[in-house]
Amino acid sequence: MTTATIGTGTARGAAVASRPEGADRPIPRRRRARGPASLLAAGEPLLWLTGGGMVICLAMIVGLLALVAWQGFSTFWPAAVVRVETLGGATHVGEVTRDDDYQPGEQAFADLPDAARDTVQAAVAASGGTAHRRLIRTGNFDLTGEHFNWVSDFEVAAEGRPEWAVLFERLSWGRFYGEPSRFALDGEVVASGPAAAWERFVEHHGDVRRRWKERRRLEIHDLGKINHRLEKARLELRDVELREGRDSAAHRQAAARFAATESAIEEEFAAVTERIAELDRENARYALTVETSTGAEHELALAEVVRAYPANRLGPLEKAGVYLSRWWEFLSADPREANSEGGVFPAIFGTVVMTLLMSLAVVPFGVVAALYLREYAKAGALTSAVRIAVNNLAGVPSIVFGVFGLGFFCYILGGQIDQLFFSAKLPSPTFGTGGILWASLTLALLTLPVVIVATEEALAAVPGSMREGSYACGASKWQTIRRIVLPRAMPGVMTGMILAMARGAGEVAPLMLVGAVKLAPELPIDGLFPFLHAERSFMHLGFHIFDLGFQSQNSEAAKPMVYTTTLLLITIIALLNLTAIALRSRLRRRFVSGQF
Amino acid sequence: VNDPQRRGRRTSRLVKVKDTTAKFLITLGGIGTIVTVSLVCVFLASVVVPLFFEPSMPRERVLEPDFRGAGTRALHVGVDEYGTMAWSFFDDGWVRVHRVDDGALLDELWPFDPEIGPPVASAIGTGSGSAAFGFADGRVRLGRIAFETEFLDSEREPAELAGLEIDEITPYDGGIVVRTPQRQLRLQRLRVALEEPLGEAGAAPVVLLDQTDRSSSPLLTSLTADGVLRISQVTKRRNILTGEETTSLSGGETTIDLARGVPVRLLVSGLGDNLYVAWEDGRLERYDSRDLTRPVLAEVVDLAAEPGTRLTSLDFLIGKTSLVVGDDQGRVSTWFRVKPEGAETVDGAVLVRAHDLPPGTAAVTALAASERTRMLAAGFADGRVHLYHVTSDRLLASGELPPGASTAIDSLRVAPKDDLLLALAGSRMGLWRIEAPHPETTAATLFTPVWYEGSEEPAHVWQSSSGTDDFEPKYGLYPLVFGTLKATAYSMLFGVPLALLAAIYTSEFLRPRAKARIKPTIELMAGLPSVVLGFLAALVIAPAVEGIVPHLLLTMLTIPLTLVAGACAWQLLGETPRALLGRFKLALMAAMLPVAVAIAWALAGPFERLLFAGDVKAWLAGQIGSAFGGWAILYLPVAALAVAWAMGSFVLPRLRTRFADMERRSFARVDAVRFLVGALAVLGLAALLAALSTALGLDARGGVFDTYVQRNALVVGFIMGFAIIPIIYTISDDALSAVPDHLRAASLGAGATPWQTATRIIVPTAMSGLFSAVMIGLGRAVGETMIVLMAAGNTPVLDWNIFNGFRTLSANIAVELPEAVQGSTHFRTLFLAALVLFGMTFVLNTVAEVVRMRFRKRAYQL
Repeated sequence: MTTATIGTGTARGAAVASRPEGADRPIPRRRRARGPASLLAAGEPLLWLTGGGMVICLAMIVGLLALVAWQGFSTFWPAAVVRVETLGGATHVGEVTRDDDYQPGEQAFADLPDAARDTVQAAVAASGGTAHRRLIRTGNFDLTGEHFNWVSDFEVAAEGRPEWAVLFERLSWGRFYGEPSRFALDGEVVASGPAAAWERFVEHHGDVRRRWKERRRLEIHDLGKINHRLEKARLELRDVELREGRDSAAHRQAAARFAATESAIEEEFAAVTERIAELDRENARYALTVETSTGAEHELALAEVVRAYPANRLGPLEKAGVYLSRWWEFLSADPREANSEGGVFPAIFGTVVMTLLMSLAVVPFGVVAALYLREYAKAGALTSAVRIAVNNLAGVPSIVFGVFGLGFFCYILGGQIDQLFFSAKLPSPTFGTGGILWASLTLALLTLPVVIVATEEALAAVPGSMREGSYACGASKWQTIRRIVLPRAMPGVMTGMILAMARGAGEVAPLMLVGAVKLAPELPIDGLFPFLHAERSFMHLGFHIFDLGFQSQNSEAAKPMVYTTTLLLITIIALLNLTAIALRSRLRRRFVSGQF
Repeated sequence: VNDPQRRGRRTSRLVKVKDTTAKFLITLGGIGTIVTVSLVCVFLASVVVPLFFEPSMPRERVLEPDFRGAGTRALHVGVDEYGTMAWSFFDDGWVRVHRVDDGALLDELWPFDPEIGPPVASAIGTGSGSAAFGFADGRVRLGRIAFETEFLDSEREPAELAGLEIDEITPYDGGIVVRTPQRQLRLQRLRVALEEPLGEAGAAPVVLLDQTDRSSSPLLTSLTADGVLRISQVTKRRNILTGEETTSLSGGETTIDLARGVPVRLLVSGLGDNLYVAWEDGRLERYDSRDLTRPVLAEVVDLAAEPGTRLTSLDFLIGKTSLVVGDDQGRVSTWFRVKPEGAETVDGAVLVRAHDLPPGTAAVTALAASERTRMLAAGFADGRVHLYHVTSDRLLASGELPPGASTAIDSLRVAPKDDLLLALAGSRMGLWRIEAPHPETTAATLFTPVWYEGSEEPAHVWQSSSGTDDFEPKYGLYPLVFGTLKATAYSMLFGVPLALLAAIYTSEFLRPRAKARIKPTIELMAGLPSVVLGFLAALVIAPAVEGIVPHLLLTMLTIPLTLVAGACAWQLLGETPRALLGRFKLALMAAMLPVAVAIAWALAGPFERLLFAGDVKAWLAGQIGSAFGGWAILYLPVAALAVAWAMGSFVLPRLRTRFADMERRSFARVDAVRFLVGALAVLGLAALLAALSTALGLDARGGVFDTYVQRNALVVGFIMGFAIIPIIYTISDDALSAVPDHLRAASLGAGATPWQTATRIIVPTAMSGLFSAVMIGLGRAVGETMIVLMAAGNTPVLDWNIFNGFRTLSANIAVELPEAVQGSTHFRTLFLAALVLFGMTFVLNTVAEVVRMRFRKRAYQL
C-alpha cells in the first residue's frame, strides 16, 4: 500500500473508510502525499476537538481547586470596615463581602429622596437597566435583626473608612461593628473617647478571656466528670434494680450507696459552681460601651468578645496576625454560632479517629484477603468468586453501605450489645444507634477493595525468584511470606491503607446514616474511662460541609466556613493521595530493580 | 557437614504449627470476604422480603358470650387497643362489655332515659368513640363511648390483685386489670358519657343521623321522618360566672323527597363539607355543605354496579373521605371525590368509583375500616369475613365462622392496632388475628401507577410523610428510579464525551512527559469528595448558572466551533510556522476556550433576544416567545450529525478528486471554506427543522425544556459529569494504552497518520475497554448521593425537563432513612431502594467486568 491509498480515507468515519478506493487507480505521484489527502488524514479538526476535551477537563479541575483555594485562603484576611451613608438616610458600617450587577426594580428606588430619584433612574436606564451593588456585612444582629445589607452604588451619598471602627467577634449574635466610646470598671467610667477606651479594652481583654477559658474548662471538664460519676452511680442502682427486683435487700443497699455518693458529689458540684460564679463576678466588672452606625450605644461584656480589632488602623503585619489567629482558632477551637463561626477541631478530631479506627479494621482484613488470593488460593471458581465479590464491592454505591451499616451494625449488632451489656440504660440506646465504631466498620467495608487491590498489586510485584530462593533455603511458606514477601510488599500495603484513608475521609453519604452529627457534645476520645468511647456519635469534616452548606440557617454567614472547611478537607485528602502516589512509585522502582 | 544427625534434622514443630495456623487463618479471611459481600446483599434482601409476605388471618376462637337479650341485633362493636375486651351496642339500647378471651360478661349498662326509650338511630365514631343517638321524640343526644385506661396507685394495691403476675389479666370493677412489665396495674373500663338531649321534644322522629369531630367543632346531621335533612354545628359555651355549660346547634336544612322510599344511610364527611344520603336501590345524593346554613344537592350517583342490586352497606374509610359500598351480591367498591376540569357540579367535584375489591359470595352485611391504615374488613351474610387493603386493591386474607345457628355478620371491628378482627353474628363472636404488617405493599404498588384517594387517575407517587394522621403514605419507587435515570442520563451526556475525547488525546497524542503531569491532575478529580462537589454545585454553580443560561447554551455551540476554526487556521499556516509552533499546539488549543467563552458572552444578548424573546426564564415558563428557540437548540446536534455525515459521504470524496493536484496550503483554504459552509449548513438546517416543528404547532417546552428551577438537572449533570470524568478517563486511557505498541508501530510504519492510527486501529481494538469504562462511570453516577442530595432539589417529579430537579433513590435514602421507624413499611421500602441500587450497580459492574476480561484476553492475543 502506498501512502496515498491510506490517505484517501476521510477523517469523518469508518463508513467512508471502508470503501475500496484507489485500488483501480494508477499509482499516484509522490507529490500528492503532501496534497489534500495527507491534510485530511491528519484529522486536524477532530484532533483539536479531542485536545479541547482534555483541556476542558483540566480547566475544570484547576478552576475548581483555584476557586476553593482562593475563597478558603482569603476568608480570614481582615477586610477594611466601610461606612456607607445612603441617599435614603440609612448608615451601614461593615465589611464588603461580595458584589454583583443586578436589575433594580421599581422597589429599589422607593427609598430615595424625590430629588435624586429621577437622575438615578435615568442613570440606571442609561447603563442598560443594570446597577452595581455590594453586600455589606453589618452584623449587630441583636440590634437590627439583620446580618447583611445590600447597598447599590446609586444610593450611596457618602462613603468612608472610619478610623475607629472596631470589629468585635462575639460568642453569640454574630459580629458587632462600632466605635468604642467608654470603658467602665465596676460600673464607673474610667475611660472615654475611642482611643482611651480601646486602650483599656486591650489591657483587660486578655485577662478576661483567660478567666472565661478557665470557667469553660471547669464547666465542661470538671462538671462533666462529676455528672459522669453521678450517671454511673445511677446506672449501677438501676442495674441492681433490674437484676434483684425493686424492693430486695440488695436494692435497698444499693439505694443507700447511691444516696451517699450523690451527697458527696453534690458537695463537689457546689464547690465548682462557686468557683465559676466567682470568675463570672470578676469578669462582669468590665464593660465596653460601643457606639453603632445609627448612633445607638451598646454595652459589650468583655467576656463575650472573642476577638476585636480596629480594622482600619491595622498595618499589614497586624492584619497577618489577625489572619493567623483566625486560622489557629479554626483549627483548634470548638464551633460556635450553630457551627458558622469558631473552629472545627471536633470535626478534625472525629475525622481522624474515625479514619484510624477504619484503618485498624480494614488493613488486616484486606491484607489477609489479598494474601489468600495471591499466595494460597488455587486459581479456580473460588478465587474468581472472590474477585467478582471484591470488584462488585468496589462498585456498590456508598449509600448502600450506609443502609447496611445502619440496619446491620447499629440495629442488629448494636441492639444485641445493648440487650446484653447496657440494659440499664434502655430504652435509650448505647450501641444501638449511630456511633463512631459503626461508622468505622461501615467505611472499612467500603474501602476493603482498595486495600485488597493495592496489596495484591504489591504481592504480585515481589519477584517469584525471591520466594523460590527462600523455599530453597528451607523456609516454610509462612516464613517466606512473613520474612520475604510481606516486608517487600509493605509499601504497597501502606499505599492501599492511605488510599483507603483518603476515600474514607471524604465519604459522607454513609456517615449520615451511621453516626455523623452536626454537633457532638463530647469527643470520641477523652480522659474518662474507658478513654475511647466507640459508641459516641462524632463530627466529621465532610458532614460539616454538608450541614453548613445545606442546612444552615444563615447560609450567607456560613459560606466562609464552608470554604475553609472544604479547603482543609481537600488538603488532607490531597496530601494522603500524594503520599500514596509517592509510595507507589517507590514500590514500582523496587519492582524494577528486584528483577534479577 | 556430613554429620547424618544434622542432615536429618526435622523442621521444628513450632514452624509447622505456625505454617498451618497461618494457612488456616488466611484461607478463613479470604473466604470471609465473599461472606461479607454476600452478607451485604443477603442482609438487604432479608429486610426487604417481609414486605412481600402473604398476609394471613388465622381464626383465634369463636365464642358464644352471654348477650342476655335474645333476638336483639348488635349495631356496633368495639375492641380496646390491647385486644382484651370488647363492647357491643344493641338495637334495644343495651351496651355490654365482654372479655375477648373467654366471652365472660364484665359490665352491662343502659345509659338512656327510660321514659323516652332506646334510640331509633345511632352513629358511633370508629376511632374517637364520639357517638350520637336519635330518639323517637325527635331529639338527639351526643356522647362518648370509649375505653379508658388508668393506672392503679402502686402504694394502695387492692389485696385481691396482689398476686397478679406480669401480663396476667383479671376482671376488676367492671373492667380488666393487667400487670404491665413495669409491674404497674393497668385498669381498663368502658366509659359511657351522654350529654343532655338537644332539640325540641315532639318533633318528627329521627330516622338517620351521623356526626363528625372536626377540629373546630363537632358536626351533627340528621334526617327526620318528615324528610328534613339537617346539618348543624354543635357549639358549647361555658358561662364564666356559673360554670354552667350550654350546648347549642346552628346550621341549615333541606328537604328530601321521601316518595322514593326512606333512605337507608346518612353520612357526613370528615370535614363536614359533604353529606351523603343513600337509598337501598343504590341511589346516592351528595349534598355540598361547605356553607352549613344552606346545604345544596351537588350530584346524584348510582352506586349499583348493575340494575337490580341492593345496597346493603355503606361506610367511610379512614379520614371519612372515601365511601365503601357493599351490595347484596357481595361486591365491595370504594368511591371518592375528584375534581376533574370541566366538572359541572356546584363544587366542581364528582364522585368516582375508584377501586373494585374482590367480591364475596353473599350479601355484604357489615363493613369496618381500620383506624390507622387503609385496611377494610367486610362481613358477609354467609359468615365469611374479608380483609382488604383498599389502595392496593387487595384481598389480604379471609376467614369464616363455622356453620351454626346464626351466620350473617351483624357487626365488625378492626382492633385499633390492626392486629385483631372481631365479628358479631347473632349470638356468636368470632375473632381473627390479623398478620399483615405491610398490607399496602405489592410489587404492583411499588412500580405501577396506583389510584390514591383524591387524585383523578392512577399515578406514580412517592410521598412518604405528611403532617396529618390520616395521611396515606405513598410508596411508588418509580419516580425515584426515574430521578436516578435522569441524573445519570444528563451527567453521562456531559461527562462521557469529554472523558473519552480527553483519554484519546492523552493516550495517543500527548508527549509522555506532559502525560505524566496531566493524567494525575485529572485523576485528582476522583479524589475530590463528592460533598465538596455537591456544595459547589448547590451554593456556587446553581446561583451562577441561573443568570447565564443563554450564555451556557451558546458556549456549548461555540466551543466546538472555535476549536474546529482553530484547526482550520492551523492548517492555513505554512510549514515553518507550524514547525515552530508545534510545541505549543496544546496551548493554542487551550487558548481557543477563552475565545469561545468570550464569543458566547458577546453574542448571548442577541441570542437570547432571537430565540427566547429576550428573557429565557419567562420563555421557559411558557409566558413569552414561540417554540422556535427550543427546537433550534434541540435540532442543533441532530443537524450537526447530519451535516457531518453528508460531508463525509458526499462532499469529501468529490473534493478529493477535484482538488487532487492542489497544493496543501491551497487545499487548507478550501477546507476552511468547507468548514464555514458546514457550520452555516448546520445552523440553517437546525433553523429549518425548528421552523417546521413550530409550524406544526409542536412545542419543546413541556418536554426537555420547561419552567426553570434553580437546582436542576443541568447543574447536577455538569457537576456529576465532573465526578464521573476521572473514572471513565482513567480506565479508558489504560485501555487505550494497553493496546500493544506493535499495532501502533505497524500502522504508522504503513504510512498512516497518528490520527488514522488512533481512530482505525487503537480505538476499535480498545473498544471493549472503553465500553467497560463507560459502564463503570454509569455505575458511579447511579449511586452518587451527595451531589444530587445537595443540588437536585429532591422533588420526586416525573419529567425530563433539564431545568427542573428530581429525587434519586440514593438521595431519598439519605434523607428519609434516619427518620424511618425500624421494621416499618417505610423502612423496608427504603431498604428495597438500596437493594434496587445495589442490583443496578451489580449488573453494570458485572457487565463491565465481563467485557473487560474479554478485552484483556483479546489484547493478549494480539
